[in-house]
Amino acid sequence: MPQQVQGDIEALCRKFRRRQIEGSLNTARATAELLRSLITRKGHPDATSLLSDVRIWGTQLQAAKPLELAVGNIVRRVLHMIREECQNEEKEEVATAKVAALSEKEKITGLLSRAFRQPPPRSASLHNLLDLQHDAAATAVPDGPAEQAVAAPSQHAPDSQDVAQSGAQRRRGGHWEGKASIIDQLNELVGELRDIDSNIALHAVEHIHANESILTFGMSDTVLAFLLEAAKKRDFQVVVAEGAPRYGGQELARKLAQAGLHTTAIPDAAIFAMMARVNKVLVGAHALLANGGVMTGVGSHLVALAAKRHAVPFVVLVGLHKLSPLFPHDPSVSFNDFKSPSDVMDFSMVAEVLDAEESTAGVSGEQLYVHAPNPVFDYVPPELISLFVTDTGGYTPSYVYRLLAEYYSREDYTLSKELLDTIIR
Amino acid sequence: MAPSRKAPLGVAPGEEALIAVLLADSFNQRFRPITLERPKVLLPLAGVPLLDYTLEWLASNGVAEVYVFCCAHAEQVKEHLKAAGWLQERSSITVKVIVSTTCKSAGEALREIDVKDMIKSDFVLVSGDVVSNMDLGSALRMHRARREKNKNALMTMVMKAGTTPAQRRRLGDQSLIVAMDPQTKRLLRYEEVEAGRPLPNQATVDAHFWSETDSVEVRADLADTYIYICAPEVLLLFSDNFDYQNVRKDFVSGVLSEEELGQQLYVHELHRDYAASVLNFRSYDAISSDVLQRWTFPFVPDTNLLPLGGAWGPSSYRLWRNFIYKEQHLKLGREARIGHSSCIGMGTTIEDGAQVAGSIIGRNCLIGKDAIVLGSYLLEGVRIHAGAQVSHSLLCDGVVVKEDATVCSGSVLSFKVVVGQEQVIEQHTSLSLCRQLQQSTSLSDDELEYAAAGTASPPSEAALGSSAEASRPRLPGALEDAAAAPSDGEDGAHYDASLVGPDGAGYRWQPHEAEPAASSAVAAYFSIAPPPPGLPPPPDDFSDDDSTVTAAEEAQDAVVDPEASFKREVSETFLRCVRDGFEKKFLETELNSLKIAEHKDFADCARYILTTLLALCLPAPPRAKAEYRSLFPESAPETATPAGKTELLRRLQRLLNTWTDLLKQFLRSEDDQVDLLLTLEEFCGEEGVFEGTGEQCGLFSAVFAKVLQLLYDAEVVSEDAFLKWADEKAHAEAEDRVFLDKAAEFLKWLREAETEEENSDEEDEEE
Repeated sequence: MPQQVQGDIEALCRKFRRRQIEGSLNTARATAELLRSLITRKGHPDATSLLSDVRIWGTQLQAAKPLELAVGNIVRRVLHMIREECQNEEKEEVATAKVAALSEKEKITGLLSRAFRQPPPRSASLHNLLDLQHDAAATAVPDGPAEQAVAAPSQHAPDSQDVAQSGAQRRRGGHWEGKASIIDQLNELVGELRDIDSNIALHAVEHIHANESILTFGMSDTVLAFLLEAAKKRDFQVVVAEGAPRYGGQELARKLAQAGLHTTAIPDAAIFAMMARVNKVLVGAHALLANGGVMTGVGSHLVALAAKRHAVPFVVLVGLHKLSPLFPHDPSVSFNDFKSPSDVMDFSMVAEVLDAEESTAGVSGEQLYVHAPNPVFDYVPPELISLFVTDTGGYTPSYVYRLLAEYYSREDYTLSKELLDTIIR
Repeated sequence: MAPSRKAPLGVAPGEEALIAVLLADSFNQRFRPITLERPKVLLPLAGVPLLDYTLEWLASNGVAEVYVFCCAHAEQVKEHLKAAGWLQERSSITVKVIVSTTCKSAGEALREIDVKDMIKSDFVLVSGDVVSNMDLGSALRMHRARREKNKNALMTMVMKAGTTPAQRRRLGDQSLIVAMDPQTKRLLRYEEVEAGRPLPNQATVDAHFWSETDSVEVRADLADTYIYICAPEVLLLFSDNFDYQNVRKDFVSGVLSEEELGQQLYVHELHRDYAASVLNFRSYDAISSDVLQRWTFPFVPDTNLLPLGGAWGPSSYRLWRNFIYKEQHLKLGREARIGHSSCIGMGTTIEDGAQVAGSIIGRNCLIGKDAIVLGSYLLEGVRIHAGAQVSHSLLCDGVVVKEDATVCSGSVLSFKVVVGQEQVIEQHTSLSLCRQLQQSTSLSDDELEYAAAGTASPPSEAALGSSAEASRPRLPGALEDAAAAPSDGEDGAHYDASLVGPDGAGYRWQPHEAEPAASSAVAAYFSIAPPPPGLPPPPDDFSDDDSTVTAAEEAQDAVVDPEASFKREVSETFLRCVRDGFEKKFLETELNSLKIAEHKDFADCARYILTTLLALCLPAPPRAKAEYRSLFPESAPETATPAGKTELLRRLQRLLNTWTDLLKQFLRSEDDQVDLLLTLEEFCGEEGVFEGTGEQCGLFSAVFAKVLQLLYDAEVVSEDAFLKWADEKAHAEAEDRVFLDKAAEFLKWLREAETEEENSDEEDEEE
């Protein structure tokens, strides 16, 4: 059984590595489905062991494709689910304990300390900066010593480790009870991922108005769905920049035109000139980072700057599976993918240098090459972004930290910190 | 699992499972001396064995089953496959190993596979040194669509378009002239030009192609990628034609020449995708740099896609600015300079002041203080000590370059070679711990052809034990023995001390003479170092000053003019038989088979036998191969003087005495004889194929009539044939009748003799 689990993980890792699964949505779905099947199949005596297993699996998957932050996001979501489940159980426990026998100590300490005992889940802020450090210290130690951290007397509020411990006490028949609920939630997550584009598109009519001119850049399925949804109710015009060197924009323009929208395709070089005439810029994204910046198709930064210059709103459509608690300066964010230069230049160019060397005979020795980096992504900083439209509604970049608190546990932000240790052993 | 909506590579599901045959042997010796100890397919390219590139590419294309055919070092290949996890059951691709240690060519390997009767459907044939990121799916779909319509569409050859001459030079690849139908991509003609040679000035295409197709495309920008999609019948053809050795040289040209059988080959052009094969050290260097420049994406170090474990361990490369790839756990000195396009493996230490650029450094290497490593390939555990310099060289596992030593460009240092302090290894030197046997005749791939270290050296006291032990021939690929060698060497076996220094270890390894790239001037074009400008000189079989020009010409007509090449073949066959003293019977058989192979008739053979005989009376033409030079006389007789004429004729007479029978064998009719005379005329006039050959055939024009006389006397040509020739020529233009005029006297005599004879006949009758 454990071998089979490991086999399944390796199979998916191999698919990730071979790029047989591309795109953050597909990756997220594959990850969620694999985690669901693994959690269902493998027995776990308590929440702690489940947490540690999911963390290890997730780290392996993320390591197979460090670029695709969606893998880590889904893993963190699952970890968060498990922690929440524990917390709920603990709450129940406390509630029943209160009813059954209120401890003397509890009575004496009074309201203030009780408030300390059960702080509402909060995100990182100045108020709980100290908690944050404590958690980071606790989670920096891998799962093995987690028990030790719990064993140490905790002066602060019970963190999730305590919670997990208390959950562990409630296991029955060698299996953790909360698992069923986790699997339910995972099913929900998979369903959510399936409908994510259409959920984003639901907001289309609120953002696109009649007779507007919308500029988009490159190819994005989310943008396509969004525009098509809006076109059901509104009449508007779309300007598509082709997005060299992969020219996804040409594909998008064709699809839009087939659907009967007014479509104008322009080369990337014409974006700035065109910007004065459009009402809004809509683009998709590869990942949404913790500071509100996005990783998106190469060239988008140019578009964002042009939009800023012309005071045109720059709207990013992004499913929340792309929301990552990592910052762009994080060393574990593998930021870009450099593809084959064949998109940019002809292979024969590499050898032309040999001829050039002949003409400058004697200079040879150091090999000269034409270098053609072909990055896939751009980073667009938060100050250039006007709005995110997600499956749960529109948010400004400054609100992203709230979303993080909603979907992830702080302890799991550092998932990737262990990544290299686990992989290299 | 989620269905992948737009998988970049791969075969659509639902199609027939795809099979691949991977030849894990190169069947040549270009990677000597490395291949003595490790098969070429396990040579790492940017840290990963070549074989893994090919397998991973096949796997990501959805190939279900791969038959890995191993010959030399089969055990090592098997071990690697096991260690890298390819043989595991849960791996998405089934890898089966076929071992045959006797095969010496791709043809034999394919015949063996045919005998095993395992392949029933279309398959991909690749060699284990292909690095590619092409999408097999589209090529395969086209292949299958063609097969649906026409069962005779045997094979689709994948070729990379847009390959410029400079690119070929960079890759050390052959030039190729391909004629095909632009619509159907059917291959009509396929001509290889030896690597480094200029393209011929002419290419001939049979006019009858236009009866089948409206247009024919002749391309010189296609490069063979050594990826073939084959129908199962291909194996049958290899079995039927048991002399097929090479896929391209024999099979492709065989199928194309037997067009009447209806079998067809097709071309699949690659434009953006990358595909190349590591043929020699030159392409090893070029492809390595392509990998670092990411042309092979996603097969680049930082995707860490390739080794899924095993001996090499999972990799952890990351890409830094300027195409620098680094693994974890490096010790880089603060002052160490890492230049453009470098790749550094785990556990490597680079000390202060060291300079590394354009190089691939394997795992656990050491580069000492102020050492310089430029454009070089260091495999595992190489130690470059302080102040040493290495440029454009390949250093295998465990090589040590001691303090202040220099390894110049183009060198290849095989496993565990030690270069002593302050030694200088000159350009294009190969060193190995294996000592080369002096007299080796076998050309077979990777076979045992070397003695253990220490065998041939005078045994010193300390080495007595070890050399006795080592004097048994070492098994191929016995790495343990090689590992033991350096310890022998320290105090025992006498290495080439002048080369590697008193504290070094290693013998010089001379490239095999039979290899085309034997001479050092040519070697420069196929070595690790960047190719020098211009085209390489041809293999210098002779030392004349004008050799470059003439040999290049030879290469040209070899391709351009089938007639000239046939002429050369005949004359070479003839000369070989003369030199080796074969019996006439064998010579006749040889020539006959040549005739059949080339679709020629008897007269064609006879013509060139005669001209060869004539040529043998003169000094060797500049183009003759060195081995036959001794057959020719030293100098030409002075034909201006009667004595010279007589001398020339005497020489011819002598030869005719011996070879008349042979000539007669090939002159079956009067017409053949007339042809012979016409050729003789061309020969003396230095026209047609004899033009510009540098042979002094013109000398014979002075004695033309006498030559005719000799032929007549030897009964090679009958008088009827002479007269017929004269009649044919009688109405020709003045300039075409030069030789007729020369022969006028002879003809007149002949006619008279005939009439006399007739007269006498008549008289006889009258009586």
